[in-house]
Amino acid sequence: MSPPPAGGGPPDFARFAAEVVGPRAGETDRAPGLAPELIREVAATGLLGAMIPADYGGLALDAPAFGRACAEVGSWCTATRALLTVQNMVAGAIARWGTPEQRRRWLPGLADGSRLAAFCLTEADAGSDAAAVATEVAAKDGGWVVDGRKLWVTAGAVADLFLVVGTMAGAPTAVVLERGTPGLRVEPVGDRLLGMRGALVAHVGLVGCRAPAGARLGPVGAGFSHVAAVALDLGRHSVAWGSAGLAEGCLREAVRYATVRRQFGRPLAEHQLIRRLLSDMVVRARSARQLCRAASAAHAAREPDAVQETMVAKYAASTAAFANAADAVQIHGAAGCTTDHPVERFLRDAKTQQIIEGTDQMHQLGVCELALREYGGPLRAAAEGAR
Amino acid sequence: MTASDNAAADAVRERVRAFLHDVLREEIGDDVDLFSTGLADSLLAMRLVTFVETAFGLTVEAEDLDPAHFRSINAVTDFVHRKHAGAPGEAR
Repeated sequence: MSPPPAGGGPPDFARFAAEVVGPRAGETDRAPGLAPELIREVAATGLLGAMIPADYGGLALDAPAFGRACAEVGSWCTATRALLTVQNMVAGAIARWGTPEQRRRWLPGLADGSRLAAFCLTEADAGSDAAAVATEVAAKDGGWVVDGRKLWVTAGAVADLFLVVGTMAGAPTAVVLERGTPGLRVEPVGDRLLGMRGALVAHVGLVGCRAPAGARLGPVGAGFSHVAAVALDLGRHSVAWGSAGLAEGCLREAVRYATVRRQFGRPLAEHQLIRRLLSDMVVRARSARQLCRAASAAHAAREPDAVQETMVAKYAASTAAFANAADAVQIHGAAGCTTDHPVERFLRDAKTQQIIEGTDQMHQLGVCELALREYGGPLRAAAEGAR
Repeated sequence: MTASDNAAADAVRERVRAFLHDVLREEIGDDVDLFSTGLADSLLAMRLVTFVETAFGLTVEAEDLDPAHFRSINAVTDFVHRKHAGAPGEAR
């Protein structure tokens, strides 16, 4: 890994991303899957435990610092950044709602990367309507039994810990299952994905999975509203920054190509219509980063509105990443439609960022509430009769 | 409760009212159930936890996540009072 900067502080994540992650991003996409040695190198930077408290071996980065790291990695490889995202989502939920014993049991391994985590929420009939999960959690013999099937689980193919959101007699309940639990089966699906192909995505089957009493995270009933909510908020924040980084990566590659490729006797960058594309890419990338900064600042200040500021940032950044990726491919022309250049991967990856941790459409609903609150009248006329 | 306790509870209640009024953009009765009426969703649930922690300088623990503690303005007020008193956050 890259050495820490002079004067101490965390490792130089920008250098690590450019020198270690970037050169292997194409291979990660084609394999598909992050190579074990790359995961070990990422773990050595501390990024897998970036937001975990120092007491448990984490880097204890604040939201702005972790966000910047996600942007650096995301500007080269969305699959690698996704690993950071899900690890810190699960660790964050454990740190926030875990008992002291649960924190001691799980956080050190997540911090040093010796254990990888997956977040299991989506099901066949529960995506945007995440509260509709049908996975059943039942109390039995002093522990829990979990039955269900989870889809599109990032890092699910290699995870050691699975944070599963299910329902116990209708009450959302979160349980942490460990790899090797009888009845837990992973089905890697990376080779079927449009983007994030290297993110070790899997479907996870859960058939009569037994877990001890200490496996439940948070109270019965809080599995979605509080446990999953914390994880999803951290995930959106990380995806937002990663997308801002991806938008910048698209710009970097587009400029690199436009200054080398010559047409009509001069570099593409000297053509006015190409300059317009590049200008729009600059504005999108910088706007996305500014909104990410605002969301991180709200998180750092523990403002109740941080959740919605993060939704604004995630929506804007994922939109910017996709638009920039499309323009980067356009500037590359036919070359951009091949695996000879990273922009075709950027385009595929960018589309997935408009879906993961909440689709653009779900974000539009949440973002709109900010405007209604500032300028509108009563929000829920349907509840009028109750007052 | 002493007169001092009552004054403190009134101050908490007013801040909770103001927060929910800002979020929901309407006046709500102090005993209206935020969740059964559909006024609150999962986003508000988490924001309410963050608000209570930052506004009143306390930590909401996992064992405090009983919906009864957050279901109304008065429930939140009572919860804050009990946490400040160092008592378990048991619902009424």
